[in-house]
Amino acid sequence: MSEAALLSVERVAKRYAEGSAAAVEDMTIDVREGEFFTLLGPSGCGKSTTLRLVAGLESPDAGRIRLAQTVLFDAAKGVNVQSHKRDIAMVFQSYAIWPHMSVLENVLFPLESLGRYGRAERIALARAALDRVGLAQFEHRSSTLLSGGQQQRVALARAIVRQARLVLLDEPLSNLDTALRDQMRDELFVLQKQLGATVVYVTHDQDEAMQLSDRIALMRSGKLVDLGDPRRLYLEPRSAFGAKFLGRTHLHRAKVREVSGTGSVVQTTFGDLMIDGVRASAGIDMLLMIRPEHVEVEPQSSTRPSANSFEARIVSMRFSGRTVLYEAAIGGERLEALTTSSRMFEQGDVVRLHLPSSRCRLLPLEDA
Amino acid sequence: MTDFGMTRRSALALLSTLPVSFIGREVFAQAIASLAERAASEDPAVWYESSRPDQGDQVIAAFAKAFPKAKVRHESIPGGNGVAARVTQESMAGARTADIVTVGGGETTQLLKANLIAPQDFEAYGLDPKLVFSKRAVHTAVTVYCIVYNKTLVKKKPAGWDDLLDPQYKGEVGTWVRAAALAELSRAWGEDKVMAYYNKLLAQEPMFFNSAAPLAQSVAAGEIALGLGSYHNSLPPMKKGAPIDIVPLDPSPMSSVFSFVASKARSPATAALFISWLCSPAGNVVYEEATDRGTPLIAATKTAKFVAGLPTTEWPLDNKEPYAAIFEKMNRMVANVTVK
Amino acid sequence: MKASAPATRRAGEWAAGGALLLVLGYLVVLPLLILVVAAFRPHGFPFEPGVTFAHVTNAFLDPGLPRLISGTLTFAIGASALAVMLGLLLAFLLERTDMPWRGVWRAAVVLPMAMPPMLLGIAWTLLLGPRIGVFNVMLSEWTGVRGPFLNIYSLSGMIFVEGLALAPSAYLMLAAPVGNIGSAMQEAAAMSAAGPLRRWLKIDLPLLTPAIAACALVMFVAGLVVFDIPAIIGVPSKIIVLSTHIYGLAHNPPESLPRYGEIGALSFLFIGLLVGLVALYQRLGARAQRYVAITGRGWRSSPVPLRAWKYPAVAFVILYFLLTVAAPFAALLWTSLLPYQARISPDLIGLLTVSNHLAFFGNARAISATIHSLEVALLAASAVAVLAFLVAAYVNRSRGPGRRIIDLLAAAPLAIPGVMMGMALIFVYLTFDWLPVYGTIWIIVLAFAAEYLPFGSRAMNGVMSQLHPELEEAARMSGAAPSRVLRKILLPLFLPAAMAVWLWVFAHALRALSAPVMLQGRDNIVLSTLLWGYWNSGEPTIAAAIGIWLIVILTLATIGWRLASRRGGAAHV
Ligand SMILES: Nc1ncnc2c1ncn2[C@@H]1O[C@H](COP(=O)(O)OP(=O)(O)O)[C@@H](O)[C@H]1O
Ligand SMILES: [Mg+2]
Repeated sequence: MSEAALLSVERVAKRYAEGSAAAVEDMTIDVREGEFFTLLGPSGCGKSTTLRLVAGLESPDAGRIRLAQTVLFDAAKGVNVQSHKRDIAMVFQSYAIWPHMSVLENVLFPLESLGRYGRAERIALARAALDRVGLAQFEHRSSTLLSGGQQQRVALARAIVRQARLVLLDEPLSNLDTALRDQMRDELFVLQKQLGATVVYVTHDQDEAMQLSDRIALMRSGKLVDLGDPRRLYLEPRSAFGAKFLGRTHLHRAKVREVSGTGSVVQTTFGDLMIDGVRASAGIDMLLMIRPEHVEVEPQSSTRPSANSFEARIVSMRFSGRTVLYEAAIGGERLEALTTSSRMFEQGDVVRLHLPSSRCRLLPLEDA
Repeated sequence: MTDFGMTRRSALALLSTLPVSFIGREVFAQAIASLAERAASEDPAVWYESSRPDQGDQVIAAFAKAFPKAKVRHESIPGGNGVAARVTQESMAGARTADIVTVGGGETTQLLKANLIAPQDFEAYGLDPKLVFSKRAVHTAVTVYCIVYNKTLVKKKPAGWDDLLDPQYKGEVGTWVRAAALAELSRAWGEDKVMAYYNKLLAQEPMFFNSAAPLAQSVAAGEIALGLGSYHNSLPPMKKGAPIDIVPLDPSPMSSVFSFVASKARSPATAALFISWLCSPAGNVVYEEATDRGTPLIAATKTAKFVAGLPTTEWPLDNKEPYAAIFEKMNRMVANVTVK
Repeated sequence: MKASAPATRRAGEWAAGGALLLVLGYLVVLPLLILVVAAFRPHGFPFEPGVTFAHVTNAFLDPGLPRLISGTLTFAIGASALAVMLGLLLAFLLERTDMPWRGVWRAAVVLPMAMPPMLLGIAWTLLLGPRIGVFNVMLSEWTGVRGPFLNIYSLSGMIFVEGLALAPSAYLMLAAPVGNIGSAMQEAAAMSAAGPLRRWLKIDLPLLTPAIAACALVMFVAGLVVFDIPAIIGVPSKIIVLSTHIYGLAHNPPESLPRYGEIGALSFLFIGLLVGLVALYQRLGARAQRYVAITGRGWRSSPVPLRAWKYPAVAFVILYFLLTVAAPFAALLWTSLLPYQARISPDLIGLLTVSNHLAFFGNARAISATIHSLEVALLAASAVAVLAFLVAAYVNRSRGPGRRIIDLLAAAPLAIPGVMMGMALIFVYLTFDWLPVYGTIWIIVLAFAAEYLPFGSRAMNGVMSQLHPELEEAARMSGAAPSRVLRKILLPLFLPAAMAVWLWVFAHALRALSAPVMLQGRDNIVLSTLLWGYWNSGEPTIAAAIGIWLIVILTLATIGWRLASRRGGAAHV
C-alpha cells in the first residue's frame, strides 16, 4: 500500500450472520492525508458497513485496518481497538443528536470525553466549531427543537470539534431537501478544504461524490469495483456498471475489427467507429460506451463528413432550460444526445451526430 | 312415604340421647318430621360459617344422609365477623343472604340487636334447652384457648399464663391478632389485670396471626416456640405428628359459637332442621369430627371431655357488652404496636 | 364522497365514544362513586338512610394514619426502587451486552411471573423465617450463634420480596427502551471518544430517564396497592400498609362489624393519588415517546463486550433466578410434601409424603376451583383484550369526543387497590340484583376487567402509536372498504399484541388474590382464594401443594405469553 496513506484498509471482510451473504468482502483501500475520499455505490452495497468497520462499530471477520502508525484492527494478531479509543470522528446518517443535551453540550461532549483542555478552552473550541457550521447563535437551543439542516450542522460541529485524524461521514446529506442539500454540499466542500481534514465519505449520489471527492471507491455487492479520481471514473469507467452508475450513458454492442497503435475500429449496428486507445484484441465482442453529452449534434448542412459522424433524424426532444436532450435515430438505432440550448433542433430535423473518438470507450460485456 | 319413614328414623336417632321419655321423643320426632317435610319443598338453605369449604362439605354430607330431601349448602367465609358483616350487608341491601348462620357470641349479640335473627322453637325439635338462648341462638361449639408449644424448642412444659411472658421467649411468642381470649379472660381477672397482662404480652414482641390455626402451624414448624392458641386449631397438626402439645390454662378463656336462623332466611324450615341436627349429639359429633370443635354441653363430644374439670371463663351471651368494650380496646392497642 | 359521509362518520364516532364512556363508567366510575357514598353512611352501607361525617373524621384523624401512610410509602418506594434496579440491570445485560447464553436468559427472564406473589411471600417466609428459614438455620449452624440473622418479617423483608415480585415486570417495561436506544446515539458517543461507562452514564441513562421514570411510577403504584405480600409477611409482624389496613377494616375490625365507612373514606386518598399519578404517567409516556422517535438505523448495535465482567453478570442472572424462582419453588415443593409445616432439613426426609398432592386431585373443591380459575382468567383476558383494543383504537385513531377522559378512565384502576375494588363491587352488585353476578365468577371477572384494563390499553396504545396511520390510509387508497381495512390490515397487525395482552391478563388473573378474596362467595372460589383459605386456616402444606399446581398452570401460560409477545414485538407491559 502507498506509504503516504493515512488510513489503510487491507483485505477486510464482514459477514453479519452465519450463512448470509458477505456485507463486505476483500476490501482494500487507502486514504491519504487531507484527502476527501468517497465510498460510492448503490444502497446495500456495503458502504456503511465499510465505514463502520473503520470506525470500530463493527468488527471485521478478516483483514487489517491501520490509521497512521496505529494498527486499529488486525484479525491475524487479534488487535481490535475500541471505537472510542480510535482517533476518528463520525457523522451519522440520522445525525444522532442527543436529545437530552443542548446544542453546545452536544458539541462539548467529545472534548469532555477526551478529557482534553480546560473548561474555558473547551467552550471556546466548541463555539468555534459551531461558528464554522453557522450555528453560533443556537448554542443554548434544546436539540429537540432543531430543523433537519440544523441537526446536520450540529453533527458536523460535533465531528470537527475534536480534530480527529479522520472524519467519517455516512450519507450526511441524504435526509435533507434538495436546496438545502446543495447548500450543505458546498459548505462541506469548503469546510474540508479549510480544515484540511481527511474525510471518508459515504454516499449513493454520484453527483455529490464527484463534486466533493478527491478519489472515489466504487462498490458493488460488498466489493470494490473501481477506484480513482472522479474524472477517471466518469470518463474512463472500467465496467458497464461503473459507467451507468456514474451517469447517463449509452451502451451498444460492438465488435473490434482492427487494433492499431493509436486506436481501433469497431463495428456497430449504425456503422464503424474509430476509438482511441483500446486494449483489446480484434474479433471480440464488447460494449461501446458513449455519454449523451459527448455526442455532438450538428446541422446536416455543416456537413463535414468524417469518421464517427452519422446522419440521424431527431425523434424527440426534451427541453429543460440549460440543456436539451435529443433522441435521434440512425437507421434503426437510437442514440441520445445532450446539448446546451445555444442551438436547437426540432423533431423531424435531420442532423449529423458526431461521436468523438476520445470519448468513446469499449467495456467488457456484462456477465449477466 | 318411604322418605318420611327415613326422616322419622333419623329424627329418632337424633333424639335418642336426650334424657326424655319415650313419649316425649315421639312428640319431637313428629315435629322434626313435619319440619323435614316442609324443608323438602324449599330452596337449598345457605349456611354461612367460617370453616374451610372441605370441612363444611363433610358436615353437609352427613346431614344429607340423615335428611336427603333437605338441601343445605355451606359457604365458607373467613372469620366470624366476616360472616356477620356479610349477613348485615346483604340484609340491608335486600339481597339474598344466609339462611343459617354460625358465629361467635359477639357477632350473635350484634345480629340480635340488628334484629337479623329469627325466633325458632328449637326446644320443640328436641334440642336440649341448655343449648338454646332466648329461642333464637343455639350453642354449637366453643373455642377453648390454651397454650400451644413446640416440644423441641420448649424444654420445660409450660405451666400457665406466666410462661407466655417468659423473657427467654421474647420474639418467639405467637398470638391471634384479635384479643378474644383475653377479652373473655377479663371476666375472671377483671379489666385492670387483663390489660396489664396484655401490655406485657405485647412487650414480648409477639408474632401476630390471622387465626389460631396458622399459629399452631408456626409452632409446629418451630418459627415460634409457643403461643396463645386454641384447642381445636392445634389438633390437626398434632394428629399429623407435629412436635407440639397443648397446655390448658387456669382459668381457660372460652368463646362460644352459636347457630341461628337468619330473619331474612328464604328456607327457614330447612334452616331450623339443619340447626336442630347440627346441635344434636349426632350432628355435633359430626361437626366436631370435621372441624375439631364441638359444644361441651353435649357429653358425646371430645370437647366436652377436654373441658370437663377445666376452670373456664367466658362472658355469657346476655352480657357481652363488657366483652365487646375490652375486646375493642385491646384490638386498638394491637393496631398501635409500633412498626419495627 | 357524498356530502353526508363526514356527518355519518361523526355520528359513528359519537356513538362509539358514548358507548366506551358508558362501559368505562360502569366498570370504573360507578364502584368508586359507591365507595364515596359509603363513606357518608352511618354503617358504611351505601344504600342505608342517614348521613354522617364520622367515618371521614375517624379515618383521617386517626393518629395511626401518618404512620400508616409513611409505612406504605416506604414500602412502595423501596420495592419499586429494587424492582427498577433489578429490571434495569437485567435489561442492560440481556439486551445490550454479549453476555453468554443471552437467548436462554431472555426466554427465561419472565418465568418468575409464573410465581404468584402470594406464593413468593409464603416461600420466603419459609426461606428467611427468623428461626426456620433455611438461611438462618444454616447460618446458626455455621456460627453457633442462635439466629435470627435475616428476618423476613420486617419492612426490609417485605420490600425485598415485593421488589423480587415486581422485577420481571420492570424488566419487561425497560427491555425495549434499553435495547432500542443503542444504535445511533451510543455510536455517536463512541465516535466522540466516550468509553462504555461514560456512554452509559451520559447518554443511555439520561435518554432512558423518561422510560425509567414511567416504569418506576408504575412499580410504585403497584407497591402502593399490592395486598398479598404485605398480608403474608407484614401482618404477622404488624407492619401494616394501606391495603392490609383496608382488608383489616373489613375482616378484623376492632369491634365485630366491618368498618365499611372508613374504607369508603380511605378511598378518597386513592382517588386523589390516582388523578395525580395518572396525569404524571401520561406526561412521562409522552416524553418517552419523543425520545424514542429520534432513533437511528434499523439494525441493533453490536453488543457491549463484557469481557471479564461476564462472570459476575452470569452470576447475577443466576442469582436472580435463584431468588425469584428456584429457591422459592424448592421451599414450596418441600412444604407441599410435608404432613405439617416444618423447616427444610435433611432430618425430616422421612416425613415426606405426596398425600397433599393426591388430595388436590381428589378434592372436588380443588377441581371446581381450578375450573373457576380458568373460566375467570379466560373471560377477563378476553374482555380486557377487546376493550383495550377498542379504547386504543378510539383514542389514537378517531377524532371523536372524550378521548382524553376515556384514556384516563382506562388507566385509572391502576391506582385502586384490588381489595378496595372488591369491596366496591360487592356494594354495587348487592344493590343491582337484576344483574345476578354477586357471589359468582362474573363479579371477579368484572373486577379483573377493571384491574387489568390499564395494562391492556397501555400495551395497545403502544402498538397503535407505532403503526403509522399511513398503513391504513394506504389500504383505503388501494380501494379497501373500512371493514376490509380492519380485517386485512389492522387485525393482522394487532393480533400478536392482542394475543400477548390476552395471555398476560390470563396469567395475572390466575394468580391474583386481592380482588377474589374480597369477592369470595358461594360459587366463585378460585385457586388463589382456595390456597389463601388453606394457608389461613392452618393448612400450609395443602396450600403449598395447590400452589405447586398453580405454578405449573401459570408456567404454561407464561411461556405461551412470551411466545405470543415475541411475535407481537412491542407488546410490553
Ligand atoms: N447490523 C446488520 N445486521 C445484518 N445485516 C446488516 C447489518 N447492517 C447491514 N446489513 C446488511 O449488509 C449489507 C450492506 O449494508 P450497508 O453497509 O448498510 O449498505 P449501504 O450502506 O451501502 O447501503 C446489506 O445487505 C444490509 O442488509
Ligand atoms: Mg448506508
